[in-house]
Amino acid sequence: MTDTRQEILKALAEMSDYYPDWRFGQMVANIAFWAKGPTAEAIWEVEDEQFLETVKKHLKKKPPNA
Amino acid sequence: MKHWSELILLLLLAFASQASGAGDAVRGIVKPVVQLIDDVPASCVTPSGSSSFQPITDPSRLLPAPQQPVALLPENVAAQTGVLRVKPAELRLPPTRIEGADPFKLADQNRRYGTSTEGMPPIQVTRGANNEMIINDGVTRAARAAMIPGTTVPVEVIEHNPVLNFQHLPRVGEKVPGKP
Repeated sequence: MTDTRQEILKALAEMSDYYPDWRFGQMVANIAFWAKGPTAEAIWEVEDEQFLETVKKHLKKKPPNA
Repeated sequence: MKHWSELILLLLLAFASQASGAGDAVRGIVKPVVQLIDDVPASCVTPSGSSSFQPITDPSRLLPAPQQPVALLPENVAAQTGVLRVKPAELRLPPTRIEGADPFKLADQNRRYGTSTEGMPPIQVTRGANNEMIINDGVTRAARAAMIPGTTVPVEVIEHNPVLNFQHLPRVGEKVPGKP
């Protein structure tokens, strides 16, 4: 597994703490929309690096244990 | 000699006020105003997505101090993240739920909660261009509330990106049962 992918999974674990009620697919879709724009293709097209950057940026904005 | 002592006293006072944090009053004004720059109108966003706005760092260019904190002025509510109340029918549907709420989940929520929105958890949204909001979580709740005339729902803005355009996406109100 690539380092980026490992980082993505870690970040998704952190996201799951913030949004415990979201389905996993819903979480991936929401992050992809933030990264690529709100289209159905975003989930398919988003690059791992872009996905990771987006989720990290979102987590940075959240207060601890929000 | 007297003039010299007055001058030294003035200098000492100025230094003491700076050190004791009297500048906080100024920073308190500066902060909210700079924060508002984040709320870039769509017309100010270039096609490449970059903004022509630059935060104001020179205090002399700032507006006079407001009577109450800027963040609490009603016209700036749209610039906030946090929980707001909005008309559910106006919210945009996510591209993965373009046909609106799952009819089975909607029927279940209707059966359980009827026309009540009391205690409803905030619908989580992303705010984009023109302050439009797209749902990240709570499509079924929004659809049920949209069927109740005149109701508003709590929404939590969890992400804000003025570059994102949601205009191609249908609104919740266009996809509630009974609409063609």
